[in-house]
Amino acid sequence: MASTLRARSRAAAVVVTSVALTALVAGPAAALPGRDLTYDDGEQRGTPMSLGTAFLVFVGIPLVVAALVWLLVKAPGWTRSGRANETDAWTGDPLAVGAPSAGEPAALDAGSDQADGTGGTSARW
Amino acid sequence: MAPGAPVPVGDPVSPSQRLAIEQAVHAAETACGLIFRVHVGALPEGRSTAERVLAESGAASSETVLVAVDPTSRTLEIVTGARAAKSVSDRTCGLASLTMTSSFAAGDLVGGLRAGLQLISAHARTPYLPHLDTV
Repeated sequence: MASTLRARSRAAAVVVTSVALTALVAGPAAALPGRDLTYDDGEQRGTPMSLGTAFLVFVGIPLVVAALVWLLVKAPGWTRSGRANETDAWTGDPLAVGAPSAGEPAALDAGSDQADGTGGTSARW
Repeated sequence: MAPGAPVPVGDPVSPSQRLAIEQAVHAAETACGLIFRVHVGALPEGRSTAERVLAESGAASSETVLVAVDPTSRTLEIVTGARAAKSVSDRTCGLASLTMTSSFAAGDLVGGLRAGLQLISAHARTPYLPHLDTV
């Protein structure tokens, strides 16, 4: 419980830090009034990027890419063929391979090993 | 359907895929000398049903390894006869079941059965015969 809380608070701290850093990066790019328009020799400043544009580029595009990846991973499971239906029954006849044929002679003396018991394993998927 | 195409668990096998299973059974029997049986169908009582299926082999049941799969309840039972259990350990059966269930979970019934039978036959060892060195 404590470790989950710690992990969650760590994740929240990471998110807050990344958003703050993004805002810090995008902030100076904003075309704010009263900005210093003094040009140094040879300097050619481009058109400043607005805050909204910066947010779209640095936050929006990664979010869109992440959403696309999530969609590509989840979408196959939404189709009927992709969904594992627990109630699907075996639609074919019981399949038996290697079954003994009728009238097969008893070639082995089975009485001597009956007390040893069977082995094997069970599993589910 | 091609013989190598995965068969989703829940669909009947084609004749070519049944042939592939039969060939795998034959290869396993040739490799280790044991009798192998594959049963795909309902196992209402789980292991008890599988043991009853094994008992249907009659006198040969003690040297038989039965692989029973119930796709509806997603259950796999490997049952070895008394003599077969001396050659095929429960650990080998566990390893084979892990291989098979991995394939079954991916929807490949025939591939899983072939891999499991191959693994069991490869790991089947010569049974230990005590007192051979004594006069």
